[in-house]
Amino acid sequence: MWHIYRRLREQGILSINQRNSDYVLRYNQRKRYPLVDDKLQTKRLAVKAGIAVPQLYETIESEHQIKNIDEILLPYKDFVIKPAHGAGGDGIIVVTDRVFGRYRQINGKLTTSQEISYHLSRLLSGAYSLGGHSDYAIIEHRVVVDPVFKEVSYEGIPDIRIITLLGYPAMAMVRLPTRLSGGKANLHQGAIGVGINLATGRTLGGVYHNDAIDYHPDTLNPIVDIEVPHWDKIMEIAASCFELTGLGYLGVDIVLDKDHGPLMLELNARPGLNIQIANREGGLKRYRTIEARAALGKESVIDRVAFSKEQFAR
Amino acid sequence: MKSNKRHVYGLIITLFLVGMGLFLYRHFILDVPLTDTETVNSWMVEANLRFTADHNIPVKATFIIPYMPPYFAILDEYFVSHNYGVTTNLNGNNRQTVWSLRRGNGAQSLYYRAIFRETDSSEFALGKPPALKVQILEENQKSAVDTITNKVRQSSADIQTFAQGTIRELNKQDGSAKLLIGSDFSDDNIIQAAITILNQAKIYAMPVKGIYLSQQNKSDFKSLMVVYNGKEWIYINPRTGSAGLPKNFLIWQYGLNPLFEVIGGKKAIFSLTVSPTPINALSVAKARGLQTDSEMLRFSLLQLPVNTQETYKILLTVPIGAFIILLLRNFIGLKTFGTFMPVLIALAFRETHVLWGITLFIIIVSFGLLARFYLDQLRLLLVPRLAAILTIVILLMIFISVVSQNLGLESGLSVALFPMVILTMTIERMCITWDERGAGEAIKSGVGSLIAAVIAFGAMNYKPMEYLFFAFPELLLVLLALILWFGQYRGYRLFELLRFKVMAGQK
Repeated sequence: MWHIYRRLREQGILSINQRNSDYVLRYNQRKRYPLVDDKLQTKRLAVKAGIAVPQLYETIESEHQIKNIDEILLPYKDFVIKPAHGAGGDGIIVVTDRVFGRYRQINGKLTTSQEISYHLSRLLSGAYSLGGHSDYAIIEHRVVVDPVFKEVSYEGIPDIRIITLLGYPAMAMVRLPTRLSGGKANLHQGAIGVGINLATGRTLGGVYHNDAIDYHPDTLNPIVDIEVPHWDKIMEIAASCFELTGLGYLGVDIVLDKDHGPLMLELNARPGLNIQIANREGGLKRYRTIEARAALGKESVIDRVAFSKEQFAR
Repeated sequence: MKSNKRHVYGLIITLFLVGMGLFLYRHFILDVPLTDTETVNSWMVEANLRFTADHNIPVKATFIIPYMPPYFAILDEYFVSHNYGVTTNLNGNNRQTVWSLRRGNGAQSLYYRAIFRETDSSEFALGKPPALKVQILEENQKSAVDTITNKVRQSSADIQTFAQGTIRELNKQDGSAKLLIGSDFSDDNIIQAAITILNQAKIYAMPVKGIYLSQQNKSDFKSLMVVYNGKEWIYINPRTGSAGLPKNFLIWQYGLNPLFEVIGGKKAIFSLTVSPTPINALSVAKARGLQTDSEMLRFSLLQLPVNTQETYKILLTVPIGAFIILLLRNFIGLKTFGTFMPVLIALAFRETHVLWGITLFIIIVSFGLLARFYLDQLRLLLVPRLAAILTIVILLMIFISVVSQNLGLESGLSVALFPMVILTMTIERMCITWDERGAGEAIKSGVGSLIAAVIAFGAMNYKPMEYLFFAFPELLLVLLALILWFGQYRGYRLFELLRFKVMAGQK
């Protein structure tokens, strides 16, 4: 045990305790949390700053609106329903089409509007929000997976997670949904994490649970050395989220849409540690490099991205 | 960051030192015992003076009571009488209590009751004796005294051995001794004779009355002789001549004065009752605190009403439980439902005991989950759903109580002590976790909560610990220091080691 402990120390692996105290508590002011905890606020901020996000269709805030849900949803063929305060991809319904007056979910399940209404009621009463506070639903553009990732994901939408410290991208990974994860891009639930080389935007090896993996377990397509399109744009979006929120330690989730390119999906003020496993590298060394650089003075987004690309090439 | 570190560690050290300091002070200086079961040998002595008061005249009764006796400390004393005014005053080396009544009539009974605790030290020392007056003796007595004195002087070296020799000589009960004492060789008479002899040798001696504190009920006064050797007083046994004050001898009175006196009454009888009463060391310390006006003891939980004390006994264990949770979460990485839910469950375990507690917890949570899954189909909103689960939980509790009563299982009744709101929230959270993260995750967290609760219970219910925190609440400062210190831990949790194991293997 002690041996493992020492090895992890040497590798500079960030622990939960240290993440909480040295990064989250130090760089993220509590009062700024609502900006990222409420996805609608994040979206509005991003739009104002010119960052592309999935287009907002509607918000559902009251039971009254739920009654007319069919009318509200009428103009949209496909859409995503999300809790504004959700976490971990819970409470999200992705509707791709309408069949026989029912909504077809991405996993092929047909859902009646009654079921949609119930889901929305539960959502409004806070079933998916942190701390059970009452919530509201966001209905937005359904992201259509970029063909690059089509081959290596099952049902859901793969997303790119970039950890930024003080606006410098520090680490990145793609999360690929699997059958096991139920289409969710959450590593806990069985999605694959694939590290990305910050300099080139090419994928490194993947991690499935805690094991190294080079192909997608459902599609059997290789996941190594895929070039993520629009990489520079993605890095810029991630870096500029610092100015957007004022939060120093952020997890930025970005999806690649077939038509719209990179879209910023959500921000996380307490990003997880699995990105280290996906990258096969501890985060601490990179964080220290960034902290040293940031202490020298403020830089523009472009400079920060350039610095990260140069420093964290692999 | 550096100054923040210094601040935190400064605070930790300060808290630790203050807490430890208070703790040590109260243990060593105020004698607050470290364990619950520590008892102090103590005795309850009751002196009773009974007499018949004369009709309608003022009554004044006086008797001598102990005053700072060596090897004993008075923990508490009461004066019990009907309508009497009571004063105590010092009279030479003795303390007497004076009871007075304007008009007395009929049988009277005065009680003095005191609780004595054995101590190791004698704080009170007799003062220097007054100037010695040599008695003038009759001729025959004088010759007897001289005979004995001569005999003893040859075989003695100093005042102490001389006095001891005198006692031994008198106890031979030969001619000279008989001449001085007569036919009744009682302790008192021997002491009286010895004092006369020592008086002739210009040595100050006086009798000491007291009682041996042992298991007996009725107790009689026994006498010792105390001799002044120019520097200190030496107690001598009138039978054996051995020197030293026996440890279980409670000195009641010095000198020759009568033990009691009644004016305005007759047929006075003085009696003593002794009974051993082992007293909890804590209450001794508490009583001592009251006597010494020590603020440190006055501001303690012991001064609260007893049932409040009981509450605090339980409350003070909560930080211990919280500390355990800190260890389990930040060092081990155990997953639980709600941060301090296990502590509350552990509190319930106090009443239900662990095995029953776990059984009941599992029964309620699993039935609650079944109900919750059913309620899911009714499409209820959050608050009504929670209210419904709460109601079901309480119904389950009633059901378990009634069934176990009928089965004769008393432990089942204690189910009522479970924190039902906490159980309700646990069920709800477990159900959501179940839905979204799968049964495995939900059961893992549930088992984690139970394990945490059992460990917390083990620590919280450890009686010596419970007592320690109750008797020394300042230990909470030490605990706080520990919490702050352990809170500085930035390293890996045990489960993280497993999680990142993959990374440790690679170069």
